[in-house]
Amino acid sequence: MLIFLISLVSFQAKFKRIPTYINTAADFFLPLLPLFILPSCIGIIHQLELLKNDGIKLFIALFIGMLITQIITPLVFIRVNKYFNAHHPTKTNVNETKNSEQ
Amino acid sequence: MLPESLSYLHHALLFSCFTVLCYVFAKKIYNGMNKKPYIHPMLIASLSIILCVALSDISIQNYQQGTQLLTWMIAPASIALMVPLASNIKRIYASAPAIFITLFIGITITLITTLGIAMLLGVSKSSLLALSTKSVTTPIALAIGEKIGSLPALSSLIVIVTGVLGIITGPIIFKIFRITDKKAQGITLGLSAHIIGSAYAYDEANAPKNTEINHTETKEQNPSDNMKNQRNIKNQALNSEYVAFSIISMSLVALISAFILPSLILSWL
Repeated sequence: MLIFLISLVSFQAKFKRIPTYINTAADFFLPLLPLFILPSCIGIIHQLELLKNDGIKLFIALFIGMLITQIITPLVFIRVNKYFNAHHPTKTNVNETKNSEQ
Repeated sequence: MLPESLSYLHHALLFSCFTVLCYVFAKKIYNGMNKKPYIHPMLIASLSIILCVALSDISIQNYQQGTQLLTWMIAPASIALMVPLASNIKRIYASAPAIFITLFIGITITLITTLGIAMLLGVSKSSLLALSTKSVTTPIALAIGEKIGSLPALSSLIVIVTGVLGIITGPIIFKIFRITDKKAQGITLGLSAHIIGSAYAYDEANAPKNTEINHTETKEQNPSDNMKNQRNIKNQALNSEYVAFSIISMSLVALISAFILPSLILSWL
């Protein structure tokens, strides 16, 4: 994955675009990703016995942990990103701010 | 009786087609009911397949063997995730410090809250170990689990439940707390729901009709073509950022977890 990413970034840096056939392949595979994950989700059916003892407790911990993470993470990102954009502006950030102002 | 190779082909065709049909059906329901997060196709399709498998005399081993072709496709699809990432590399680089700081805080919060609550509820140590790898994809969770000694089956079960739960609660939380920043949404989905979150982000970003965009368009009367085009380009860029940020978040969480989680968990638990 990393090698592929590095090759793509290098190609993009040189030719200012990603090869069309790679884009076409990605456009084919990516929308189907949830479908490919589905059989793994079904596999959990024969592991349900493992949840006999701690199942409900685990679910409560997962659920509350998930809520707290999903509330705090975006707020932290927005604040930190705003701070860095204001104090250490990069070319891309400046362009983005200009575009949003327009 | 069918010969073994034909029987395998029969199972592969039957179960793969059945899974595809269930997914298509679930997606139709999801699209038809205005994309409510709690009826996400992953959830509906999973539940309907589990129900069918449980009610019939099909063994889960046969089902999994039959759908191996679909499972194998995760590898090229995961590699394809690098394409949106590469096309947004400049934007990611521009927000790199914010991404790292957020992920560091996010991973810490996830670990402390989830494990803390589980400890308070008196969950056994083996379950706690499995719970600690919830935010990474299954292969990485299994690799970390090997080091910390958690049950592989329980780890993969928790990883999948976390992913599905993450894509259901995520959009609801974004709506309640009015989090409209697409980058922040992407980071959160990647962190909390790993590859399932990234798949969800891609699906949402490339949906044929975005309700939010339509809503804003109906507010303005007769917008010029130029304005419309500009807005479409901006929306495309935002959607592309949304996907790229969820992918980078998922990848970095996996990388950070693989390096620091084993020693951290072993010293804590």
